[in-house]
Amino acid sequence: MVMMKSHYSSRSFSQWKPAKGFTLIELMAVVAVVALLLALVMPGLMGTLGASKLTQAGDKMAGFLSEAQSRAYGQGRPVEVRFYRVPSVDDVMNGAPNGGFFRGGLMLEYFQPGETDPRTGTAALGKPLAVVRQAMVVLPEGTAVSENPQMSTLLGDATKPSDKKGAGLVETVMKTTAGYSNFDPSSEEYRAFVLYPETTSLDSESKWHLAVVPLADAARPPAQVTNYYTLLIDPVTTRLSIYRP
Amino acid sequence: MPIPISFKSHGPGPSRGFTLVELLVSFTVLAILLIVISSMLEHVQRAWRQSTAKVSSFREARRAFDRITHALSQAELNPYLCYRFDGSSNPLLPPGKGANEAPSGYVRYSELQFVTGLSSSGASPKLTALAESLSPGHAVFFQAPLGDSKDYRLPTSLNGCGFYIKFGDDSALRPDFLAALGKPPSYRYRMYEYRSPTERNRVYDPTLKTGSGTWYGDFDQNAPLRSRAIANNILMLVVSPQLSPSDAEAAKVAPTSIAPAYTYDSQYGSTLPSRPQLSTDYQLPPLVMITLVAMDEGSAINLQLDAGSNPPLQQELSQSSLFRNAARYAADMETLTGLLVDRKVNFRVFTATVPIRSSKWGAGTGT
Repeated sequence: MVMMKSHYSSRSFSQWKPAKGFTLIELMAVVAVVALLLALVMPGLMGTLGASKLTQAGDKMAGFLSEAQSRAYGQGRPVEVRFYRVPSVDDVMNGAPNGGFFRGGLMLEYFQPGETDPRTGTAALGKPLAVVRQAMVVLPEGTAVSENPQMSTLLGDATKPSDKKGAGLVETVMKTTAGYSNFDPSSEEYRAFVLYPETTSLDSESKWHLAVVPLADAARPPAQVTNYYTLLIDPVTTRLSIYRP
Repeated sequence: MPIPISFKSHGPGPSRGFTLVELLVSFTVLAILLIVISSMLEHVQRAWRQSTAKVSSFREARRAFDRITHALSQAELNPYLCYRFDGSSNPLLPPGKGANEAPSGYVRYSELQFVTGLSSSGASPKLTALAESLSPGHAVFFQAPLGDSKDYRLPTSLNGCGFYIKFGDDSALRPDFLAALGKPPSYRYRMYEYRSPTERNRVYDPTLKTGSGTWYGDFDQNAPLRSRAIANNILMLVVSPQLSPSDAEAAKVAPTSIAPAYTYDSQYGSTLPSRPQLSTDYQLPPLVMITLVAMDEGSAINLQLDAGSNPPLQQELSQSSLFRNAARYAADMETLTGLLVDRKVNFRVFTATVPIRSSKWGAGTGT
């Protein structure tokens, strides 16, 4: 029997007999050491991974806002920045309201009456027109914009559209590869502000910011938040500043 | 007796299982490898972060610089000619009955003002009057039709406008919840933009004409905020009013002769002096050379480690009496860059000469 044979050969260890494996105890000890090491390293590793995900999410939001800025400056027309709720599977566990946390960013370019209608390219516009040129920018999984009014003043009541059907006031169209089609927002609830070429629609006497946080922190007050990527917009100069722990 | 487990192959031959010692050795090697790789990764990450921070901080400085040049080029004075009454205590108003009421000539006048000089200057002209260690370099204040107003929608209404550097913490600028989290404020030199909305523009306020007050005296006000930081880590602002090269050549003077000490004030107090008007009285300079010295965030973090809440580089920026004589601009610039290199500060210099559109440069009225 192989087992017995190996057992006996282990007795004569000094004679270079080649048969000894390791015992269950030894194996368990090794596994335990490995597990211990992993347990020591994992929190740090997970933290790094989570932080890099948050960085990625924050950079995405910063990129979105600075693109809206440069579009307003470059085209010389108002650009409305809207934040929409985008649901995610884990939202409910983390205390999200109906519709999920705010995750999506959308920009609308405003054309004034008298400007050339972008749809036809010839006729002048009779009334204002808003054009959506690109798909909604959505934060990656596991991150969201904090719902806490102290963390994200930009999502506060001050920027809530007065009319729930705010989108209906100005005709809004969406530019697709096939041409222009009517814009049909995924939800009627959003928060918005307008970037003008040199300034913004925001009240100049308040601080306006938005905190991108890990999903688990999205509904928590500042004192309980583990990590954040805060974007602050100067309401007068449109300067974007980033604050991190 | 424990039942041993064997990995020995069935056939005859030399192969056997690993011993515990071998296994542990291999794990050690693996652990060392992991440590080496992770430290390398960290290095790369840090280098990457530093380079992106450098790019983004100079991008911010560039943006601030563009804002300054854009606003400055729109500076406005709207000067007009009016009678001058030499017999009156106020040469702009006719004297009382009985005196010689005939005007003695024309005088150029404007209620608006363009003023620049050392930011720390407290009198003739008074600028921010902050300590030089807190506000190195120059400051400039002027009126421009930027249309910034909360109550009116007038696209070209007048705004008070100005730029200066101030060292300080960011607790008034950053989101309020950061203080509750106990995040320490960051102490930086910042470029501030003063902007008074049209309804708060005090340039026509008659009470300011008599005292030592200035229409930009509320620049440091916090609620409501009058000055906004437009860039971090700006070490030096130099504002040099100049003549156009052709004018300077024709008059056989240096272009900086209109502001040899960088000081230029289009007004001179409450009353007109009895001397003939100079060409700088109630006129905008035709050109303004703007120089901005910015450092990157990495250098700023290193400096804050040493200096804490005190302004770093004090010796370099304010104690060496730089930028007081316009003729020595190039030498001063060389001194400053040399000092910054010695302190291992990573910096960049932005400079441009801005023509002021509404400057109608001419000789004085001669009256």
